Amino acid sequence: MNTITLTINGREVTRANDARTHLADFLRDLEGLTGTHLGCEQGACGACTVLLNDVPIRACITLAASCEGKTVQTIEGLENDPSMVALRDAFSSEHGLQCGYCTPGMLMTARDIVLRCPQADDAAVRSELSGNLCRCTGYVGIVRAIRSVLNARLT
Amino acid sequence: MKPAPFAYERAQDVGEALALISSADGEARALAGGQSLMPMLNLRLAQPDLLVDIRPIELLNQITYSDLSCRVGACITTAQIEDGIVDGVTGRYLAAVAGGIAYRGIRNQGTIGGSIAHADPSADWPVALLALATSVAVAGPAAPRVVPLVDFYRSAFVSSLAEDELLTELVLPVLSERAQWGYYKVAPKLGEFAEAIGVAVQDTETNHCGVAIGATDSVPLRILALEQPWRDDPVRFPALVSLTDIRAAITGLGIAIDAYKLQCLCIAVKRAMVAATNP
Repeated sequence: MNTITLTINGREVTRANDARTHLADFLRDLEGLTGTHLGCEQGACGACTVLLNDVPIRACITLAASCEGKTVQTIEGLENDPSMVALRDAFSSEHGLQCGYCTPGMLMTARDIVLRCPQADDAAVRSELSGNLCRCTGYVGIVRAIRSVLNARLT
Repeated sequence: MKPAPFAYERAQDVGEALALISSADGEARALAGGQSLMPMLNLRLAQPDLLVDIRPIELLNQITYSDLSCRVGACITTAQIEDGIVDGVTGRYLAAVAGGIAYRGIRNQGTIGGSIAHADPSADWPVALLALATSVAVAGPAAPRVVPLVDFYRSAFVSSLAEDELLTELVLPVLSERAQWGYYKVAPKLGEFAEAIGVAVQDTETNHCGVAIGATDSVPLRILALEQPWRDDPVRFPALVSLTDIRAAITGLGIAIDAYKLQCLCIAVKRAMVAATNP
């Protein structure tokens, strides 16, 4: 067992856990933050994307123990983030979700795109989204939603 | 799928990391970004008894420069490289390669040292650095050694690192402003591993020339038979060289690849060479 201390959505958390517990299970099972989803547990689908020290990472291939002293933000913690608010509205308007399973990870990556790649066109958005898989939508509405937020910020 | 049980320790310096690794009788693995190791653990393709987290080690997170070379710490992430953490022309080449690797979430954690040590045949960093005449700094129970990357790989996922050794730095040449490069991946699915990689780098000022192929299903390889004619005619050779000649050069390496892979590699090399002379 390891005891770790980290900051989750602004709150300091100290907890003992099995060394092999990955960050996604730590968040979901131990902290009750179930907005972070598990799709593949191989780092390929992106449903588990969270922010670690402000950058998006895959929680299923990150050990909770390795996050000692770091800051984690989940989809729950970004509820009032201005970029996230704009993206949620856009996902709703552009039909960027159906079952919603990929959506937290999509929003995490979409926020990174909007902040880091302000000039992204459709091809660049699709390239940046290549690590987030959706089985429902065919991605068209997701790309439109992200582009609408990018376009609004360019004007 | 959850990993089999293991212990986790953090090392603060190279000596501590080596001691921890040695303590586990070959059942310890070094953990850097974890972007290759953690999926293997989750699938139980690997079941080490101990993970030694080497990310806190200062040496592995530094970049030092001299006139001729640049030493990049093994734990520098692909995203840091993409964002320009390595100075100069060498840094620009590395950044161009970095931006095409997987997706940002992986790049934010995956390290250049981890990629080189893991020796995945389809990975980008091994072939990208092979074309640059890179060396690998290795620490272990014996004296530290520096191995040319061209001598580093044995086969798919197998390097010359011993179980109790640690890759600490990549030693890269400093490229001049006259350096030209092309890096071409045949990767029909965005974000996926390449089916073929061609790399061409020439610096007429430092007298370096490297043409290499990756995603060969085994180790990345330099193609010396293409490097000499390119040295002799830096400007025109890429446009003039035929796919037939490239195919003969690759076939001459004696590796076992099917006709489709061979065709993809020929195209990748040709397009990389043309891109080098037509930036």
